[in-house]
Amino acid sequence: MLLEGEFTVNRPVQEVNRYLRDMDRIMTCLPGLQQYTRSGEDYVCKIKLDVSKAENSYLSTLSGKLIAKYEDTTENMARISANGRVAGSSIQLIITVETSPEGESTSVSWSSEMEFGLLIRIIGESKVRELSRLNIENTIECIRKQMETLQT
Amino acid sequence: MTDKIAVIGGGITGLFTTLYLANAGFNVHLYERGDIASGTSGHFHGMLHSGARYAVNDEISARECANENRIIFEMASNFVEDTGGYFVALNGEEAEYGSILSRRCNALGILSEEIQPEEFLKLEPFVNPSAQKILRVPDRIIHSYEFSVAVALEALMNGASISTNSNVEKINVEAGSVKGITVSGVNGTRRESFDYVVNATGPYSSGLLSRSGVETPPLMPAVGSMAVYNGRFVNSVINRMRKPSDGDIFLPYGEVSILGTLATVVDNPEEFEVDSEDIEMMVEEGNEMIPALGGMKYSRIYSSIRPLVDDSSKSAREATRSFRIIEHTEDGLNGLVSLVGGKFTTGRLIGEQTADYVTGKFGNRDRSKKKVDLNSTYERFSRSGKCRYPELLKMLGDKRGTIDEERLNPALSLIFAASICID
Repeated sequence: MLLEGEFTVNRPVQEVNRYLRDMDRIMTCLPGLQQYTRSGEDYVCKIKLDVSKAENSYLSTLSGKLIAKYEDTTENMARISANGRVAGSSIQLIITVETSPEGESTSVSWSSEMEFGLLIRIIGESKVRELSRLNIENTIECIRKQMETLQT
Repeated sequence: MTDKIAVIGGGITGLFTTLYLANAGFNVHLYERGDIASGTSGHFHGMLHSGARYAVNDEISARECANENRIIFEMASNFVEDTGGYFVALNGEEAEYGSILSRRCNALGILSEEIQPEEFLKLEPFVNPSAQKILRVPDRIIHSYEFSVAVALEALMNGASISTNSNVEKINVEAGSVKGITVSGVNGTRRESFDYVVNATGPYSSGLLSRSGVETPPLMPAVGSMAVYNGRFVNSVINRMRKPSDGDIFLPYGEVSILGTLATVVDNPEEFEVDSEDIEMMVEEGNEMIPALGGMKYSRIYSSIRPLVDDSSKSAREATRSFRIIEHTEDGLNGLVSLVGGKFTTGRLIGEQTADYVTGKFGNRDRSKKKVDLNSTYERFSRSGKCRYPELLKMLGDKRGTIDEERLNPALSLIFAASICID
């Protein structure tokens, strides 16, 4: 499921670009992050995914591990992938963020894809779509807020 | 139609369905491919839910569990350890959840009481001493096999027949109506005629139904896994005070302790393997609740498919949200219902509602509402002359008063279970 959008932050593009290379800060926006450790270029994340919208009493939150890392970066673009397993099912999140200056502000366009693998079979396709949208939107909103509060 | 009914599946749901149908005077025969309670009913965590675990996110399940907890304790206290249970908050966020949980328990009539962490830690010294908020609830522990065998014996004494180690290969259908089943056992494969079939194989339904050319109910292939630790580390059921998640139940069961549950998704419910990395995640969660576990290795893992039902089902007759009695008439087939969903705690309720439903289909009788007393079942069965192994019963009787009396008590269930197998 691919989602995309754009927003403007009231910070200079250089600051925003610097932020996009600060994985330690971006990590805190990953959905359901409990804790993470760094291993070389990889960030090993313990997550708890809230699936309570699936309305199944057994399955309110699901535990898993993701490995997040930069896939590709240029001066004005960062792509982060997070791959791993939740409840025994493979899961993947890819976020691509591109920036361009807009006077003293920065225009940010983003696209994101989240794949739930076998989880779709216990949560259902429509609820997976809803969960993907919710998790991606929360992640992007968190990133936007962090960008807004960057210190000069 | 006459009144000959086959129940397929000797888990707790199939057993209670058989018992209540037998009480209603039906000629009912239960078929189980293994032993009694050898599937999901023998592979859960052992908790007789108070309902508190579901009080916040699933009101219907919570109410069902609260009622069944009381009913089962009344009819079968011999098989229940009335340990009580506690919800434990290890951080501020969980303590906040505890306030919501407490309110929901009160609203649903589930007895709950906040107690001071210092007081609690005296009762449960192995629980993480950083516990901030504690809520006591009436969770209990049920001895699955002994209880299930009691239900089977009761059904047998009320006129039902039971065949264990008998695999129903196919439900036989002719002209849109169920005609019976094809079953294989130690004496070979045979066809048996029935007017009505109750499919209580739950999460294992898919294979049987597809072999029979019947559309499969909407099942969700999720596995629940538990870790067993040698020794009793706690005296009661310990729940983590948060939304139901992995590794947040820890309880004593006989001489061991059980940590549950890890939820994983699988492709094939008949053949699956749980990844050790996933198990480790559950163990880490358990270690947070009971730090002493961190220094030891679990002795074994057991898993089973959970009877989860897809809520988006449109063909289901919605008995409650936690389980379904699915009529196959919409697929053009008369004389078959499939039961999916539910929990061990609600198995009796599902059996009762299924018996009511089937009785309604026959339209010429009322289901007997006579009270079931499972506490006296073993004793009555001993005196009934139906036990096939009186010499083993005598040996066991001779152990009374010896140092091993209590340790050998569960053997009675095995002797009786072996007595009820009719192939």
